[in-house]
Amino acid sequence: MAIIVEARKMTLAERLYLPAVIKGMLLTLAHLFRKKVTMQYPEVQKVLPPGYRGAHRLNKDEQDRIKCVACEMCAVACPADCITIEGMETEWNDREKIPRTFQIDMLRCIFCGMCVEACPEDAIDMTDDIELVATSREEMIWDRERLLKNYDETKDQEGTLGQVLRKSREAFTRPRGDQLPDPGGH
Amino acid sequence: MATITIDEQQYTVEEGRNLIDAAADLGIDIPHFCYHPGLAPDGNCRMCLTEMEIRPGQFGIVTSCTIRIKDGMNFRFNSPAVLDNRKGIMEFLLINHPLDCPWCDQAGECKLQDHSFDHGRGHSRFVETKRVPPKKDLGPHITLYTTRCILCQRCTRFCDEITGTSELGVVQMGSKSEIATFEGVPLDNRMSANVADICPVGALVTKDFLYKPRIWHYDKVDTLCPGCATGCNTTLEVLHQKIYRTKPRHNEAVNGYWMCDEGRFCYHGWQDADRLQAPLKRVDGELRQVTWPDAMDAAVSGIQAVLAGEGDSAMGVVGSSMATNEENYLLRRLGAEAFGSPRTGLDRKPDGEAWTSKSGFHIDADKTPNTRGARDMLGAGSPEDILRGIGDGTIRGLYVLGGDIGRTLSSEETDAFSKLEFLVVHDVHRSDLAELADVVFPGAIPFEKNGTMTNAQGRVQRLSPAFPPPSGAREDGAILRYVGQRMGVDLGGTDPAGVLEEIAGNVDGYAGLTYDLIGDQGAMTGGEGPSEAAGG
Repeated sequence: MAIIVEARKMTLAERLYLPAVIKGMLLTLAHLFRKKVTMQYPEVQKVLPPGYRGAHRLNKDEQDRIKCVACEMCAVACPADCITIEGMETEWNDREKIPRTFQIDMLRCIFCGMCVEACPEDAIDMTDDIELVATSREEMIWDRERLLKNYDETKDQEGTLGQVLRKSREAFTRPRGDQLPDPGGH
Repeated sequence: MATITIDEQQYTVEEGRNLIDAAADLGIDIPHFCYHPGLAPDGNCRMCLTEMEIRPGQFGIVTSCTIRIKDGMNFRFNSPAVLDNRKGIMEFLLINHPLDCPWCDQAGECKLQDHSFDHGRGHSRFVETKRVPPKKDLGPHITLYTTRCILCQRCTRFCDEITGTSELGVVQMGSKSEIATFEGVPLDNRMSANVADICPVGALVTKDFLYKPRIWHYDKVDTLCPGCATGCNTTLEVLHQKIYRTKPRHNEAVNGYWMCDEGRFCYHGWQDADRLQAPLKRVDGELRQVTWPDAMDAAVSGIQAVLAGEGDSAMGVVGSSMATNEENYLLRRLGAEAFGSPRTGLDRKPDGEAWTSKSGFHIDADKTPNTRGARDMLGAGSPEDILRGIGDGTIRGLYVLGGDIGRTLSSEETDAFSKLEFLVVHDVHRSDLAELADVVFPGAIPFEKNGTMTNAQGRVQRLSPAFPPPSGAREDGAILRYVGQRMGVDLGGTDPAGVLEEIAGNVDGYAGLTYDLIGDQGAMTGGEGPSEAAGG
């Protein structure tokens, strides 16, 4: 059963609508003097926060060699299954294995950053490069060389995801084993 | 049977059995490194220590691997002393271990990883410098990553007990102990790669499986080794239609826990062969790629032309010891029903070198997996018989199941086969035999076959396909069925289990065999010794 509700009668000012219009125009006018939020992209680039999950790169060590040891931990962690790695032997005596192929299918990637978290060697990293453009699907499959090139292009970047994660990891790392109280039982 | 007590629970187990095995049967896992069911217990890793009641009410620490079950034994598997010991042992083992799991090829199937996860402490108290001995090249197949070794000595015991060649030993003392070969004597015996399988850590690895994709990617396929007539049970590790590794599968009646190196690495030869991608037909004296219907037409008209000529058994069929029992049986039926009781032969390459290890592991001289089965199916005469038939003109056409990449023709065989009016061959690559043929059907390699094979001792075992044949090739059984269809003979359905049912009804010694009965361990044929004539 419907209930009949008596509508409130509008006042004269309300019936004129003018005060409301003026109120709205004043708000619009106020915005003219506020700071602008629109950016003139691409002439102006947005500064992304540290730890932003943009395009990947493969880090290099001090001797300009690939850091990756082809352990496939990133591929295991990847929920989109977009990383393909094939290992090979190295001739460097401080390392056993490096990737022969390292492919990331950027079309499949969901930019979750789990690969960076999983990496035991700080070898894979994410940069603030967000302009992923290509004219074919093949071009969107980034191989080893492309990922290493991305390192050369972005190596001066501060606050990549890897760096941020490392910093937080260090903050939470337990003290060295020898300083730990003995867990007991010995 | 004996009744024992484990953690105040009563169990009944077989008397005289090793405690680790007995516990495993009960579903209780006792962590261990040095014990392997195929080797004598050694008790050196100390990981399997448990508490046993040595006097009423008094428990003492014992190694489970050396304990034989007796009635009334009382164990504690989870007492503080036992758990504490495991923790301590893990810590000792990891003192010099490099923890290089990210690039270690054992990662994922490493006992040190598993036990460390279950019983380790998660962080190291060891602050001194770790010992880093260099890696060693032990032999043609094996590399030793000395740093990863935990000195369980499974490998040295394998070389002492199983092969009897004793190439490996431990040199140096205490923390400097290392596995080593004698100078100038590499680890080079016919079973050497087994040490990589039994190594519980990533110390011994085959050079063949270094730097390969991680072990958890692979599909595992239980099948047979096509390397010799012993018919070792194997597990193939397959990824993206490619075999990466062969491992022996335990079958006490055939190969135990082992397999030979030739068999282990023979998949390379098959996999790297330049496979036929389409049927071939001889046109103006030259083999050309044709479509399947074309090749089928050519084969059938060629066979019919030979049959229309003089003589009763103008067509002969030659089976293959590389083909399954089912395929050889279908070939015999095709011969009997479509070609009118032809003569049968068996294609087999010359013998290789036999070898028997100290423990009795046998590598057969016959380098094909199914000679006995093919002979049972075909009731085949000797290859010379077929050659004689061609020589005296009674055989003018031949249908040959080939498919052996190692098979080459002798000059007299080449002469004989060139005399034939018509030759149909199933093969996997352009072999000597295929080059002489009028029609070549691209068949499957043993790793693509589904069926059974009979090894030298008469055990019928299952063969499972690791992947399908290349798109242009077909399973040999299917090709035989097509040919039969075109010649008006129905060879039955495509299911090899159905063919085995037929074999069980028609071939001596195979009565009662089914895929269920054969299972993953095989089943013996009825008669002892090779049955010469196949019944029918």
